[in-house]
Amino acid sequence: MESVSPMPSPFGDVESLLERSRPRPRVAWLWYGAGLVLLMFLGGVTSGQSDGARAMLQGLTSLVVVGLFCAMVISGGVTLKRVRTEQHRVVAIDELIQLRRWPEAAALVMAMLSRPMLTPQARAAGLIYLARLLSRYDRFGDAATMIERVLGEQMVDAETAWGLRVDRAFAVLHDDRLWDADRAINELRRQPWARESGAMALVELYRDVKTGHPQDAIERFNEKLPAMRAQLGIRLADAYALVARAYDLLENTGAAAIAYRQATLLVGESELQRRYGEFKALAGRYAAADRPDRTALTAPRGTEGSGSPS
Amino acid sequence: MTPVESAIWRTRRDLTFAAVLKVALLATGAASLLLAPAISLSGAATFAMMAGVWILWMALNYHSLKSSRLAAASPLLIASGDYDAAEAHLDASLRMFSIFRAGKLQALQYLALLRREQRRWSEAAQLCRAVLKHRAPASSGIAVRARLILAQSLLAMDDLPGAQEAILGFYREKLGLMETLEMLIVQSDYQLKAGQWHDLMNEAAGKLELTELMASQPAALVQASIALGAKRLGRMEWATFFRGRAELLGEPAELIARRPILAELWGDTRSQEAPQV
Repeated sequence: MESVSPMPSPFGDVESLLERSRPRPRVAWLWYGAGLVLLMFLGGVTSGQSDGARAMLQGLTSLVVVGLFCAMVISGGVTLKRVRTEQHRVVAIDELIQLRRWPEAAALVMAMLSRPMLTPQARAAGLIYLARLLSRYDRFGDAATMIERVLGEQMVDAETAWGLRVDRAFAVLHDDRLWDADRAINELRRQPWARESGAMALVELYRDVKTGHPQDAIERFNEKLPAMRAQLGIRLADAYALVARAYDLLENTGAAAIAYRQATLLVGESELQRRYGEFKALAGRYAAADRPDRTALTAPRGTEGSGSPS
Repeated sequence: MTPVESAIWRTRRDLTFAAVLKVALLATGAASLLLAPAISLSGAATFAMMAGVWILWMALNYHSLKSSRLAAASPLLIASGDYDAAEAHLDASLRMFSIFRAGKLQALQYLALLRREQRRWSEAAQLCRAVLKHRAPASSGIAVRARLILAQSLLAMDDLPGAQEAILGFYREKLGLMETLEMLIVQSDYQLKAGQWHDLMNEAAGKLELTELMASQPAALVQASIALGAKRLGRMEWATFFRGRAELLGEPAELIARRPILAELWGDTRSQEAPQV
């Protein structure tokens, strides 16, 4: 699952996607139809025409009502199907990103955002995925801009906005905009989730290492390890690698070696280096954890444990 | 607290009534169109009948939507530990009549989720079986989630044959990534309890990749289970690898508290510390 690219970016002008994906107001054909029926009905009731003409008008009204009813059912069905397709596409992009199938995810997100979307929720999700993909392709400036636009248009709830602000802080740090990063982190600190957030601890850890404050990084790591361990999942590897770099800066090679080994036990060395340029300084100087050969990971069948739904 | 028998009975009654009502509305609409010329019904009368059907249909939709919205709020309440509020939402939703089949079954499945969180395993299993019996629309994912809760509840009750049957049912469903991850957790738990060490190690490379997509605690639990499988099979290199990853992601003492058999990985101590840097 690891990949180590600098990959060619498949994204063109991402700013234009913001505009092109904006949902268009829908023409309320059904209301026009309903108005027409009402007019015909009133016309039939109030006009002083002959019985034959009135019967014809009433027959016509019934036909229009039937047509309108059928149109409503068909149009409702078609709209529902289109909304569901859009939702499925959003889920598919999410899964592709989680599975780290970046080119396919990028192609799908570009296709989805290059035409007006049906719901603002799906558009917000698409733009968030686009920001993540831009970060993956090292276009951190564009990723930060995209997140700012999503936040600016108030497309998401408070919790999602918090996650996006953390992503933005990471993006500007990667982009070496340290002043912006500091501002972003200070803004994050004011949020109610800041104290218990593992992601917040990770971004501050990265800032400490990036700005040459290894002692602060080590103290922060030791203080926040329980929260990071509980919340970050596999990204805990980033925290271990960052603290390894902090120890390395202090020339505490023993502790750096242990932390680096733990980081590489979770995530391969090459992937860590792809994520953070700072880790290139560690490569070759500290041994990565042994990873048994994955191809040998199929157990020979014995007598035990048969019949399991595996 | 909503009695599960009454919730199941009410759901069954509403589903039947909703089906009858839909047929009746459709029949009335069709009759007003087809029979109008035959019985010399005036255009105005036809229009009034059609409008009546339409208004009733829209009112039922609106009412059903309110019921679905009430239920939809409950997963968030359950996740935040506010079980009383979740119970109140679900009780109100299940008491309301709805013509949405999926909405009604969804509410019942959320009630099963709540009972699972309350560790009322037998009630959760009962609710899930009721949901599965009614065949929810495949695209809604209700059946898959109900099957997951059923398997988890049966495992918690040490009903291994029942859990095996529930897990086998997944192979008839189309699973998304999230459901695949959930299924891996349940499946590993089952294999650990049943002592199926070969199956735990089977396709471990693929499982390793899936655990990387999980939250810390379940990832640690699954990898510790695989480590134990590897240890039992004498594949010590893999046992060390998976155990090392598990103890980085989760506190060994907590893992042992949840699955006492995992004590074998860390010796007998239950206060094993995480490796310190």
